[in-house]
Amino acid sequence: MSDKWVCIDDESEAALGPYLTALNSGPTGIQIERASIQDIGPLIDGLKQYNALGFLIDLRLDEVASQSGTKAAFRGLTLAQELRTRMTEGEIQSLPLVLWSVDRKLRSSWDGDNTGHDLFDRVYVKDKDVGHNPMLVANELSSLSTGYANLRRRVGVGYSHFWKTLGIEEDEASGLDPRISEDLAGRERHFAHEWARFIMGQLIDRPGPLISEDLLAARLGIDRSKSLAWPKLQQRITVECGYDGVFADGWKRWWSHRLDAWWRALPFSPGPLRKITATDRVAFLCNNLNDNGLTAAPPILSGYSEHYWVICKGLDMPLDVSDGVVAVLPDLKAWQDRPYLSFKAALDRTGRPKWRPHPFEEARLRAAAQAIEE
Amino acid sequence: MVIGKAAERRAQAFRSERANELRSLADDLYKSGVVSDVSPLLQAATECNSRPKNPLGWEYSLSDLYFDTLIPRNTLPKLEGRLSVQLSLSLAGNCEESSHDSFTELAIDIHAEIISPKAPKSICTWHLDKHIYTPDSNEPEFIHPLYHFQYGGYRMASIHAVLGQTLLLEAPRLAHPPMEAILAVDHVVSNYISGGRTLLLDEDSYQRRLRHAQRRWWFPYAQALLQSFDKAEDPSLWTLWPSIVRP
Repeated sequence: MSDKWVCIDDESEAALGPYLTALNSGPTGIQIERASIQDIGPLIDGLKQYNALGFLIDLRLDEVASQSGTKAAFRGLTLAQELRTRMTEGEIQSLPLVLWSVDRKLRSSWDGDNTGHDLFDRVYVKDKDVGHNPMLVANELSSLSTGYANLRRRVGVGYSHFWKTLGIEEDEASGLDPRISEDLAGRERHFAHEWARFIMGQLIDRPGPLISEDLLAARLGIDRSKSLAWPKLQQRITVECGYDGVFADGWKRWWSHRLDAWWRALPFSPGPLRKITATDRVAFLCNNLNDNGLTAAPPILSGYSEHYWVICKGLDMPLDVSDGVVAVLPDLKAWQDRPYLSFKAALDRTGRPKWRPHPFEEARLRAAAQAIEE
Repeated sequence: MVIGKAAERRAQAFRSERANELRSLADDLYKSGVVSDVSPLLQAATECNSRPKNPLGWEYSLSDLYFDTLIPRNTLPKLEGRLSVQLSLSLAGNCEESSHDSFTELAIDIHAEIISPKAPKSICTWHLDKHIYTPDSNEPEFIHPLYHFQYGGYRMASIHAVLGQTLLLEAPRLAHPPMEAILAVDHVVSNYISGGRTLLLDEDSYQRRLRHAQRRWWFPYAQALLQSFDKAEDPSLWTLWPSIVRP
């Protein structure tokens, strides 16, 4: 069997076909083959025969009977756990596991319970993610399989290759917070799926040493939607600050410390980014680029500061931390950035239930509410 | 000048140690609840640990570390709301320097403000920096201790038109030992955050780190001050506390 993603899903061909076709089409499409649902033992034995690039697993495998009348007696989570165990034991090589389902099932069976969430590299909503943007999903799946292949080679060498996997040399990595890799450094054995989970879950998905495009723009004070020169500037910054480690082809990120150094090294640099207003950051960049096609991002509310450093999780807009409160995010590492809600979002309860103010911030929020009332 | 590899390695070890102190300080501040966003310290740590232009030097900037607290008693004008204190600091020095004057650059801003629903924003700023004496510089008009605190500065200059009967003078410049981030944070907590220092000193790591910083940066300064009464012929001591009359 040729290299393809293998899909384990109980949905009928009529229901599933359009999604698979959408993922398959276009220049970045991926090949997906369906595996037939059986009892878990024979299913896993069957999956071992594939030269799979990854497994795409439905959440609820136990709802629809196959043509032969077989219905799985287990769910996607059970299968994923079993696959991960076999990968750890070396019976199957480490491969990406991706969960997908329709929105209502994810909300009822997945969102309310965190157990098993760390088994999967990614979760997609069929009717939203695949339905609306199949090429993005296909590109991410492709990046996952390429990344895993890279990781399988690296883990074979051992922890010493961890930073190389992220595209930076030991010398530069020694300047970063030493706690970043402490989880992995102490292990006797290394597995590609553990490195993958760490890199994706702790570095790519959470701002800290790596930042996303919206945070990059916020820290430069830029409103991307109104800045024609943004692509040109972003390209220039990417040369020096772009992340080119594993999964970079699916998830564009930039190194925060390199952005800092890049800014400080600009001729006549006006000092630390954080100390300068968005208007002044943008004015400096326009002058530096010799291009007026950049516009400063406006504050969320009149009177809010322009010393942007974070993104308001409720409103997805740049924010100075003095105009907001830290939000709750479980299992946040000491070296990761705290998430924020603007006072406006926190008081309007925008972003709930996912984003709630941290208990430490209660007093500040009360004072902000009182100030508005009066 | 050829810089030996051994000297470079020692300098890197020094920078790495200072950076880890900042990260550990960030942990203590966050755990205690005294500061909710410690990312400025983490950023400063990363900057500290990266290779500077001077391979034997160290430098970092701490930008806007926020402390939020109750308005202290006896604050005037009497306002409702909360006090926000922002600490910013930039420093540079040589890793192997451990004298009373260890910094080639030092500037600290402590900016306190109350945003009250019934009044315009009220601010109070203190600034500590190092006076740069050059061989050809004239005697300053007013006394300028090498490291000194000053009230006001540019952030208060911006509200000069609404100071009422308050006078904003550049003087006095009060002699004070230099501070890096550990000492500056303790200064803020000791002076502005009610109960904050007690909470932090409960942590062994905070105490140890603070004691170490005081020993490293303040002890040589204190020794030099004592000596300045006797060693009148050492000009480098005069600048610490220029009020002392030279024999």
